[in-house]
Amino acid sequence: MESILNGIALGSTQLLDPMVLLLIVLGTVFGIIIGSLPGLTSTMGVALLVPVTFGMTPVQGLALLGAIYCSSTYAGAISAILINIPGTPANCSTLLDGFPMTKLGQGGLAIALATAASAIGGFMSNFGLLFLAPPLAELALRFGSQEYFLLALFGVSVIASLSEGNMLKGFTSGTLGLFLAIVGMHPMTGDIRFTFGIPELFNGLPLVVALIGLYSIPEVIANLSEKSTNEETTAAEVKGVFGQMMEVFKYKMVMFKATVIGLIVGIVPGAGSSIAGFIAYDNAKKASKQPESFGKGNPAGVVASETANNAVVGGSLIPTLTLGIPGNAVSAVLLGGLMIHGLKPGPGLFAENGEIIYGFILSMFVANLVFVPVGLFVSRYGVKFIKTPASILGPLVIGLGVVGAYALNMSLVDVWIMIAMGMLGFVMKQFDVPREPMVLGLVLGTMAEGELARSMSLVQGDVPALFASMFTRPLSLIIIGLTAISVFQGLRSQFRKKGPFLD
Amino acid sequence: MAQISKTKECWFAVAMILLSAALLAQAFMYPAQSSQFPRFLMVLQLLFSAALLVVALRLPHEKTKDGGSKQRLAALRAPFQVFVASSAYVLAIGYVGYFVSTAFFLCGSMYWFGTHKPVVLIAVGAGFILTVYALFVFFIGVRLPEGILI
Repeated sequence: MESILNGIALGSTQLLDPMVLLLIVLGTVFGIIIGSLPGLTSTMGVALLVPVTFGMTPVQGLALLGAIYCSSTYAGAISAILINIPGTPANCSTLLDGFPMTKLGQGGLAIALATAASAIGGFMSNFGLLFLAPPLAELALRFGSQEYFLLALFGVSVIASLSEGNMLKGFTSGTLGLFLAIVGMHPMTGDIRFTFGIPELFNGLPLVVALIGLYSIPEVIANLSEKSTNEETTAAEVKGVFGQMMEVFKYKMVMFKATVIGLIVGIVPGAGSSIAGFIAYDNAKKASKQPESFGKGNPAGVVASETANNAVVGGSLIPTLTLGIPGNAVSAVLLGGLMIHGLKPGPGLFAENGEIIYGFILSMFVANLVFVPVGLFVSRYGVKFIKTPASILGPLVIGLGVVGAYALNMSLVDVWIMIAMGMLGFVMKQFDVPREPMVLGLVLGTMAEGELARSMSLVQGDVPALFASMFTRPLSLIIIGLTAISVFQGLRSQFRKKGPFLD
Repeated sequence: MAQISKTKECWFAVAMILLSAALLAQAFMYPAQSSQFPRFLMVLQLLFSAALLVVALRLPHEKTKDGGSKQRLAALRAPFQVFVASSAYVLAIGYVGYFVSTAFFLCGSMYWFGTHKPVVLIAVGAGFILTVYALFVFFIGVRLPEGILI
C-alpha cells in the first residue's frame, strides 16, 4: 500500500506538466471524433496515433494514447443513441435502449446518462487498476521462463476460445499471429528465419505497423462497402444535457454491478468491452422490477452498458501492465506504444518505471473528466460531423496510416507491410476469422519463443525434462490449469450453440 | 451472423492447410534449435486447419442464388479500390515525394470513392497535408520522403 501511495505521489508530479494536460485534451478530442464516427474503432484510433508519440516523453505519449482509449470507448455511445449506429463495437448494447429513448424524445437524457455513466465507470476501473495492478506485478516477479512461456500460450488460448462464432478460427488466427511474431532473428541463436530476403524483417515484423494495417484498412473497406448507411439516417437534437447528468445517481446499484462486471471482463484477455456491455445490460434487466421495459427506452439499460464498457478500460490494462498480456486489442496497441518508448511491460514495470506508469494511470483519471464536456459538445453540435461520408474518411485514414507506418522507422517497406497486413485483415474479415487472437499472438509470440528457448537451455534441450519442470512448479501448474479451464469453457459454450464450432 | 457458406469454409480450410504445410516445410530448412517453436506452431496450425476442413465438409450444401457471381464481384469493388489506390500512392511517394503524392492520392481517391465537390476535395487535402506537416515534420522531426518534385 505504501508503495502505491508513493507511486501516486510520483505520478502526480508528472501530471503537472502542462504539455501532458494539453495532450490529454487533444487525445480526448481525437478519441471522441474517432469513437463517434461509425466504423472507426478505438483500436484504430490508438494505433494511428502511436507513431505521433515518438517525439514525446513516455508520460506525454501514454497520456495521449490513454485519453484516446478512454474517450473513444465512450464516444461510440453518441452515434448509438443519436443515429442508431454504434460508433464502436463496445457500444452495441447502448443502442438497445439509447435509440428508443431518442425516439421517445429523451435523446438528451440518454446522452447525459451515457456520459456520466461512462465517466464513473472509467473512473472506478482506474481505481481498480491503481490498486490491483501493483500487487499482481509483485506476484508475477516470481515467474520464471516456463511460466512466461505458458502465460503467452494462456493469453492466446483464452482470446481464441472466447472468439465469437468460431473457436477453431480463433485458434487459427492466434497461431498465425504467434508465427508472424517470430519472423526474423531467433532470440538465442541469431538465425534469420522466414524473412524471404527482406532485410527490414531481420528484426521482426514491426508490431505497431502491423496493427495499424490490421485495424485501419479493413475498416476503410467495410465502410466504403456500406457507405449508404450513414447518409440515410436522421439524428435527433440534443439540448440542456449538463443538468440531466445528475440523474445517473438514481442508478447507483446498476453502476456498481456494471463496474465490477467491466473490471473483471477487462482483466480476462479477449473478453472485450462489447461483451461487458451486454453482460451488464442483461444483469440490469434481470435485476429490474420492469424487465419488459428494456429495449423500449429504459435509462438503466444505457447506464449499465456504458458503465461496464468503460470499466473495461482499467481492467484490460491490469494484465497488460503487470504481465505483458494485453486484455484486448486496444491495450495490445497501447503495449506497442509502451515498447516504442523503451518500456518493457511486465512485473518489473512498476518497480523500474513507477513514475511513468503511475503518471499514465493518473492521466486516465483526468481523461475521464475531460471527455464529459467534450462529449456533450460533440453531441450538441457535431451530429452532422458524425455523418461524414466514408468516401472522405477512408482516404484520410489510409493517409494517416501511411505516414504513421513510415514515421516509426522511416522506411517505405514498413508502409508496404502495413498495406499487406491490412489486406490480410480484410481477408480474415471475409472468412469470419477474428483478428483479436492474431493481435495477441503478434504481441506474445516473441515472448513465447524467447522464454521457451531460455527454458530449453535450462534443461539442456531435454524436452521431457522441460515438461517435467512445467508440471512440478506450482505457478506453472496454475497457469496450465487456467489454460485448460479457458479452452474447456470455450468448447462448452460452442457446443451449447448450434454446433461444435459454428455459430 | 451471415449464413455460413460450405464452399467458402472449405476453400479457407484448404488454403490454411497448404499455407501451414509450406511454412512447416520451410521451418525444417532452418537449424533445429532455431525452428522448434515455428515447427510446433505450424503442426498446431495444420491440426486446426484439418479440423476446420472436417467441420466445413459437414456443413449442408448452400443453394446457388441468381446473380451470385455478380454480387461477389460487386463486393470486391471496395477492396480493389482501396488496394489499387493505396499501392499507387506508396509507389508514387518514392518517385514524386510525400506531399505531392499525398495531395494527388487524397483528391483522387476521394473522387474515386464518391466525393465530387472540388471545394471539399481541396479543403480536406490541404487540411490533411498541413496537419501532417505540423505534426510529423515540425513537431516530431520526421523527414518525409522527397522525390523529383518536393
